Amino acid sequence: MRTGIFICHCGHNIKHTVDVKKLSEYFRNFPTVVVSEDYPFVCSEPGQAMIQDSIKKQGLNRVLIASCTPSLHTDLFKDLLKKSDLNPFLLRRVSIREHCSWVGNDIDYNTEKARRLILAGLYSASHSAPLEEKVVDVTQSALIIGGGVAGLSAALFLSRMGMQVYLVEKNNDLGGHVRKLKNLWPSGKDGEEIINEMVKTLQTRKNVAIFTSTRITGFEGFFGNYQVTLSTPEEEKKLTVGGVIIAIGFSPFNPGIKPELHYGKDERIITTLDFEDKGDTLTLPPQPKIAILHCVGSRDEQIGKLYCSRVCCINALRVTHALKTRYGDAYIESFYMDMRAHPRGGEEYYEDIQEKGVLFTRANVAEIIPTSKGIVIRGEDTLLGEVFEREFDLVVLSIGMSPPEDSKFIASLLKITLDKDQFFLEAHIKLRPYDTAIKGIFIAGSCSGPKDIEESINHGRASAVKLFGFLNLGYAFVDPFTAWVDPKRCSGCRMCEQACVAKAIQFDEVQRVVKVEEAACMGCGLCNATCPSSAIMLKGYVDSMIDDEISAFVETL
Amino acid sequence: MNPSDKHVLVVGGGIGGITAALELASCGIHVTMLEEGPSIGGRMIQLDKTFPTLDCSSCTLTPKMVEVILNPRIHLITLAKPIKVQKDGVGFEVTILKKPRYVDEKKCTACGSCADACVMKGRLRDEFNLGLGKRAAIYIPFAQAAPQKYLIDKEGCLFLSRGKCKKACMEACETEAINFDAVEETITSVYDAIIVASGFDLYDPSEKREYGYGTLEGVITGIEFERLCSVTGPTGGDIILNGKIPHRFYFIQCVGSRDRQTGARFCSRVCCMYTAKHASIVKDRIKDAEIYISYIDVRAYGKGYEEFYKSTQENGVFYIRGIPGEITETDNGLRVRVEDMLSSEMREIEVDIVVLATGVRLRAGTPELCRVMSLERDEYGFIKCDALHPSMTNVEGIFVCGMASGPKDVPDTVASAGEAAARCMEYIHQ
Repeated sequence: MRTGIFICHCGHNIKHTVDVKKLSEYFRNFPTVVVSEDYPFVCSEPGQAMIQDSIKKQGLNRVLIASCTPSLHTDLFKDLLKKSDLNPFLLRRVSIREHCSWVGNDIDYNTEKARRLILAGLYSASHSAPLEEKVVDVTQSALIIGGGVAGLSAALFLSRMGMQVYLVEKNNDLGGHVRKLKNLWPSGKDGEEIINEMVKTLQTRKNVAIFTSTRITGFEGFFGNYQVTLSTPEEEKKLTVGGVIIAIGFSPFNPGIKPELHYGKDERIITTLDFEDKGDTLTLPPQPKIAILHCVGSRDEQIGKLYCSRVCCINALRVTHALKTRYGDAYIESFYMDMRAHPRGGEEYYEDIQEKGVLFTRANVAEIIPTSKGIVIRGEDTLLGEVFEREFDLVVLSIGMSPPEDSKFIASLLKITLDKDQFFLEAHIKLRPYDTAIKGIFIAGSCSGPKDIEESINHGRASAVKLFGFLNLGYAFVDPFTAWVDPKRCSGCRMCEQACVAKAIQFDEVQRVVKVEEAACMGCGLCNATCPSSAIMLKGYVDSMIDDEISAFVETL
Repeated sequence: MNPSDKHVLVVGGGIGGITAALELASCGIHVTMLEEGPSIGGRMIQLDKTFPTLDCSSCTLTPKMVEVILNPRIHLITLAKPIKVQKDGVGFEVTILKKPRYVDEKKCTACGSCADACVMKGRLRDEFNLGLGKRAAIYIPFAQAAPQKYLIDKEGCLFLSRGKCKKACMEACETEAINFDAVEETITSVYDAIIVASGFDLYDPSEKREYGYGTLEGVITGIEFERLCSVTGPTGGDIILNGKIPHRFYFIQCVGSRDRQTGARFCSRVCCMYTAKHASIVKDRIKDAEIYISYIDVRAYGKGYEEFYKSTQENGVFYIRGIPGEITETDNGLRVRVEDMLSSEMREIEVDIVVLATGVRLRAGTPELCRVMSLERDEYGFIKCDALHPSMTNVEGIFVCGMASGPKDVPDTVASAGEAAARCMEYIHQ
């Protein structure tokens, strides 16, 4: 072992509170250390030249740099090793700035902590082995599950970029719920027009195969090479795809499960979705009295749906606007909890409808009672603090979004995770809102939680560009930090298979042992920690390395 | 298309610009990113935590900023903005104005010796902390800045503004990175497309005299509060105002949003949730704090938001429906007069601190940027686009994302940036 240790002053950042000279002298006495230097800026050009020179002249086979956090400059130093014909994974970084000099001002204490951190790094480095980044071929094609606005947007992008697209829709036509909506806000277009425009463009593209009335019934493989089975009542079809975008939308909330609303018991109680079909054929008396009820199936603890459905306030306003336009002399009262008119232009739309004479009442509605005369709404006006009962000729329920009915099925088939409300779970709610934990599988649109049309279009294209980035080269680099199973020690208990979030572990039925698909492995180490037989190791982070590192730090070696 | 032949200009280095640039680069496209300030990170890097998960904002964003710096396909130019944009075939010829940093980016190692030596140390307004902290004339805007390079504030520097200084910074700098002779430069290049991610500013509540911002001690804005509770802020995360720990808090929502008087009928989309976040941070750090939040409607519409709002209420934060009419000074703090619309009574509540949840405004440079690029704007000045083509502007080949086209929270900005990157690729793929 020929290790070179380079301790950075980082100007005053480290030198001020760590005795770097003392440290470099101390480590010169170790038998495995052939160079130990401290330098003002190891990352600077002369600093790099010094390391390169030492590698060549001293024949170093380990390089330990004690400086800033490894998240800075690691690629720079890795490149430096490569240039010096040394495997870049023989580099070891030790943070003595963020973990040490920046934490306190006591020089003795900091120097001792830095000494231990470097010592731990030294022992750890003795276990490092040269590793190679692997390259795997990926299939340049995408499976899009769901043909609503999100799925169509994704398909439009990918096909335009020349990628083979398989678009699968379980219904017999494309367009999802948007197709049914009329006179959308704010475009004024019918949903059908928007959908037809998108579908027409897709149909001109040779690299798009559209499968309607089709379901996914089989799914295997790993990133870059997924084997998919598509089924119709008549036949089965197998495909290989590089990645998947799930865009299966939502289910409209069924108000039938709230008996106090008497939905389905009287045709004068309809939902906003029913209004799309029945809006033209309503029979209402002159000067009709119409109620709009918000938050049906949303923000409702009683039915276990605490979440806000995000789009229904604006959707209810759209229906309210349509009714007020059609029945100018109607008395329209809208019962709401909080008016969430957040989309661009939404607040102005809300104000304009108020000015048209629609009454907005902040209320908790307890019951809707059909009578022979009219439909009675009983509730509490939360501003006046009064209980009221009012009679209407028509009640429109603004229903929320429930998770797609197939979310559980798709989640178990593709081995991805659902959230507590049975929508799909994002990899990171803020910065990775359309990724899943599995590389190459994305979730776009309302299937990960309620979204409006604009947001679904954004999700569709945004997830597609990410998938394109993964697949466009035809190959992908695989991180060398992957798990490896020793078949001699594996007992075939398959506990690791359960622990693996990347679904990279496969069970070999013949040999009765598991093996790791390197292309799918994320190197998280969960399997390693789970294995009761210590049969799994994580390349680059072997157990003995971690043990020695900890022991060195606490000095029990 | 050979993506490596294509070159896109991204204007703005906040989370929107960063996302768009990284997506394009991952598809092999070359990106030049312009940032008006000295570091990328935008508004998000000023935040302490983000709702609804209370993730540390720096911890999620800093790795992305480093990715931009390290990505060989992204060329970042800071202190720069476009001053002339001309259509050139399907692409654009762009003239970029780059202000001098007075510190050589290649030589500076961000060791900080210069700032320690600067005679103006601790005497100049620290913009990143909204003036709550002080800095030297040679400085790094914040510890995690990207690039990790110092710069000199021309107005604050004695040598650059008056020609008189012992220039201790130069002596302190071991890498000889300081260059007082640096001058403004213009760079002209051709790009295949442009993405505008120029972000937003926050409403200045000084004109709402009834709240006394700027005159009453203890009335601050949401973004100031953000720096006050941030671990990277001037107090290291301790909520201390004028040397004291406040115990009674009043948060007012919709300040400069849904408010015709301030010329903004629109909803700013983020203030309801950032206020709920502030309240929960206070509850966490000051256990016996008394917290009131005034609101019109609580717009907790995103994933996990309603749940977060509920838990904030359950933690003992008092929500009052109604916006205060007046704040006055008392012997013992501030008196907030508010009509509680739920109980229909006029209330007077005495508190130590009032935080104004100021709304979103277009970024100050947006009108000029739109003039340079011939972009149409909406009635509030945001860049015009429509719901069915969220990133498309009136100019073919120029795309918009994030707050530049109107208020958005972080996940919506990220998705809109991805969409803009996709549209941009569709455009250049011809």
